[in-house]
Amino acid sequence: MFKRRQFLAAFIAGLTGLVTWRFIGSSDENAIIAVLQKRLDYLLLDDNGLHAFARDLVARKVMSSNKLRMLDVAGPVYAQLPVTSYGNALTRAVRHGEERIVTLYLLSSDFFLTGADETRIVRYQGYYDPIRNLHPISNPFARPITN
Amino acid sequence: MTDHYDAIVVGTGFAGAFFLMRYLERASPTARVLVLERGKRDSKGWQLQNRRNSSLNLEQLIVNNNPEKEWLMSLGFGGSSNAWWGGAARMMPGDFQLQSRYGVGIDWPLSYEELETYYGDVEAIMAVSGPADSPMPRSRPFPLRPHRFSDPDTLLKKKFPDGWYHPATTRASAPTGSRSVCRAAGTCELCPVDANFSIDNGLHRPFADPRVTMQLQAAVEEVETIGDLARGVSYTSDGQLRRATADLVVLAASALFNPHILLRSGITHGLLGKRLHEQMPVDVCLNLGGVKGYNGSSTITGNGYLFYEGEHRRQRAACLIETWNSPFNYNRGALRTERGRWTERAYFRFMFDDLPRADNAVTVNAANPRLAELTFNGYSDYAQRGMNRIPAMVNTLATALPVESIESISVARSTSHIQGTVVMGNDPATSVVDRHLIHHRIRNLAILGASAFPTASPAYPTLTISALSLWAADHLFTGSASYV
Repeated sequence: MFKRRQFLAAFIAGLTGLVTWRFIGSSDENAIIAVLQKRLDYLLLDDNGLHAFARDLVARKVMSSNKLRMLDVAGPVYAQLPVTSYGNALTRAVRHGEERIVTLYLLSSDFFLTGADETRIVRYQGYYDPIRNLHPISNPFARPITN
Repeated sequence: MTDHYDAIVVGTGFAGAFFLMRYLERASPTARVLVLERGKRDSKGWQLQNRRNSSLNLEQLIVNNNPEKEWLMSLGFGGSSNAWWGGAARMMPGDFQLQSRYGVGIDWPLSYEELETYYGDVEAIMAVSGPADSPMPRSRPFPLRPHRFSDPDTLLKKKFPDGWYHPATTRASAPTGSRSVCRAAGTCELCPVDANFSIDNGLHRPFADPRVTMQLQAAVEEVETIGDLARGVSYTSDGQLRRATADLVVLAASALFNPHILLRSGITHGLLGKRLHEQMPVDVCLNLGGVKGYNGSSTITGNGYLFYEGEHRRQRAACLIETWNSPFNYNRGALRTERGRWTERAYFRFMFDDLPRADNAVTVNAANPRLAELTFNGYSDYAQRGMNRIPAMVNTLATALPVESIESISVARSTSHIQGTVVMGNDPATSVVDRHLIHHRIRNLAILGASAFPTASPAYPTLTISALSLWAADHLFTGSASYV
């Protein structure tokens, strides 16, 4: 019995240490890049642009750093999670965060401005900011009024 | 030192600006009006540069006892016209007659028909965009053509021709001279092209009238009275307490600060400050199969009235639906991540009317009387019962839309439509102001804005606030107020 307790204690301590070690080594930028590489695996993403976007997004502090780092900690598990399995509150929250990152990235890139051509390399153009109006089209899907 | 004026107007938002405009049209050429505004006049450029609407933070002026409920308004010249999203719907006729039609809530002391011409006046001044058809009676067309539907709106209109409409909005659908065309950026509170109506871009002229003296950064402390007459106001400016007197005092300082000023002034009433409420906003995100959204021409592209008027209002709240057309706005829309299906989504806001609760209130903070203290214990059961019907409502929408799944249903923290704290009515025992927004006892004190609303319609309050200000100003000059 005693040995079993010792084993459990050692296991918990080891797991805690592993998580702590991974958390210390985690980064917001890695989590953002992991999300984009996973959810947009069907696109050709410019690697330098990916890192530049991640840096810009982190700098704006619009995403929770703790949540991003937890996602990075859970990297191996997260990578195996298919979109269709996102059925409970936690996984829906993860998907909502993913969608925000993907939305900001795609709107910050030339993807929609060049006709959503999946054969082209997607280039980051600068952080999407409709208030400062850096992009010529604030909402690339909006259609003008017709008579 | 005391200055005397014909009128003192406190506040420069929708309520104050529309009142001032109509008052000056009626007043004598020698009239003198003092306008007091608590904030600065922060230019559009300043707002865009600083990513905020005002240099004055609401948080510094209130104590929110229930922080999970958010109260949003903008301070400074133009008030919340600097931050609003341009929803300019009229209330429905039934909103004015909840008790007599449906046996719930209370009736407003005026009817839709009495306000109709004023609604039209405001729509003309604001250059409102809207459709040729309408869910409520109208005596004149909208000044600007409607915006373009998104594809989900088109399907809903086809299925529900009498239940789905282009929104009435001040997000311009054509250049107006002072505003450009909406580009659907999804950031109306900081519109990069100034497409939305604001007091600063559309109704600034009355403030430049030579009869008007405008004092910015002037915080009104109290309305001063003698017996049943308002004598003037005291206000703080440049760190000094000042006084001004007038024949007429007009409070248009919002549903948070109108009651706060009155309570500090000792102008009491059993209902003053109580009945603080907004509509209940619920955001519903649907995943669609094969139909693309976010492709209309403005930030909000559709208004659903199919769950609004009807006998269900006897049991549960009415609902107005709006279609959000921005994939960007943080909590109100995002792209899907699946290949080729990025915009196969419909994002709706369901707004339910609420029956005010007396335990939701604005009071004067005991430790610092200059702070308004806000208590909100929840929406009414009536609104809650309306919200509980959302799955059934989605099933109805799904007869027009290929709904794959409900992505999320979440109660939003605010509609920015604060109402109800200086209620109007015909009976002085159950209301603070009369049907012309004049204080029942102090007949030279008008209290304007959504603070007078007896109940919260599902519709946006701005057009009604503005129409009521014109209505109140007109009636000051037709003998219904005893001071003239």
